[in-house]
Amino acid sequence: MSFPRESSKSIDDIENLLRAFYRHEMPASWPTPELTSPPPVQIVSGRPLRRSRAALAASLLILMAGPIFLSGKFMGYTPQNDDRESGRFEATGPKSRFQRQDLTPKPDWTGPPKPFRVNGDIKDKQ
Amino acid sequence: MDSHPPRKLRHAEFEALYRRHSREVWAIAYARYLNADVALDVAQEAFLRLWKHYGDGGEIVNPRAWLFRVARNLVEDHAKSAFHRNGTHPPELMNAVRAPSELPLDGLERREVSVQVKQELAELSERDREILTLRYALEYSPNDIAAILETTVTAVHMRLSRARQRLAERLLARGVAHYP
Repeated sequence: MSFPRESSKSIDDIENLLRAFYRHEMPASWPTPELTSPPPVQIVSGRPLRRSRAALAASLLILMAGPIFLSGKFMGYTPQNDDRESGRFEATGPKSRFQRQDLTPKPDWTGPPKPFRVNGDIKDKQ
Repeated sequence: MDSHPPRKLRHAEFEALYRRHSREVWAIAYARYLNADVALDVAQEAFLRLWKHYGDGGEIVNPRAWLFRVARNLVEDHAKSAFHRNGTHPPELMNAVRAPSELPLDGLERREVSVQVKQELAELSERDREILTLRYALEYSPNDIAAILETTVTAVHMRLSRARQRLAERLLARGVAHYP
């Protein structure tokens, strides 16, 4: 048995060999898909969407109605002197370590420019 | 508004696709790696991904081409990971033993021939192996193969003839004349 060229016999031989080879290679029992559960569809219910829309509408309503309501509350109000007095603010508590510090750079020297010497002579900086 | 088909229809469509194309996907995967078990795993995984894709509401115009692409990618990934595990030689070329239950003495010769055939198939191009697998594992006609692989019938005939001749010469040189 030989396959030197594509003669009909050699074709038959190699074809038989390949068929037998692949028959042996293929799975004896082909698995069947077990899809008992439905595909994992992400069910989008309308409820959360409705809820978020309602929350958004309520927020907008409060935002718009709030200033109107508050401005109506203080119609006809005139500030008194006592109000200004009582509005004074004094920090009475102990100093906290988180107290705000003045971080603006301070000049090292604030007096008039000092003279300096060049080769023994005193010269002004200007 | 839900424009997806009902799930029952999806299920039926999926099962039809599985019946029609699962062996083809196996053949494509097998042609790449020459490992029947890996090919079966890859085919299963490809269909599982198709199922998930349907579950996510995805639409596929050409499921067969989609499955082949996924299978080829999966086998490629497997080949890369197998390289890290085993080096340059796939394990089935080093050792043809597939399972302890398949080790009767009368099967040893067949296994030996299997290894030799696989070694020669591995020398062919992947496209040639795909054509041979579709032709001799699934008994597809050259016309069907050309349609699946999106090539011409003439090219399939030419590749088949060349691959057969090459295999015949090499197997004869190894003393392999028939499959036991």
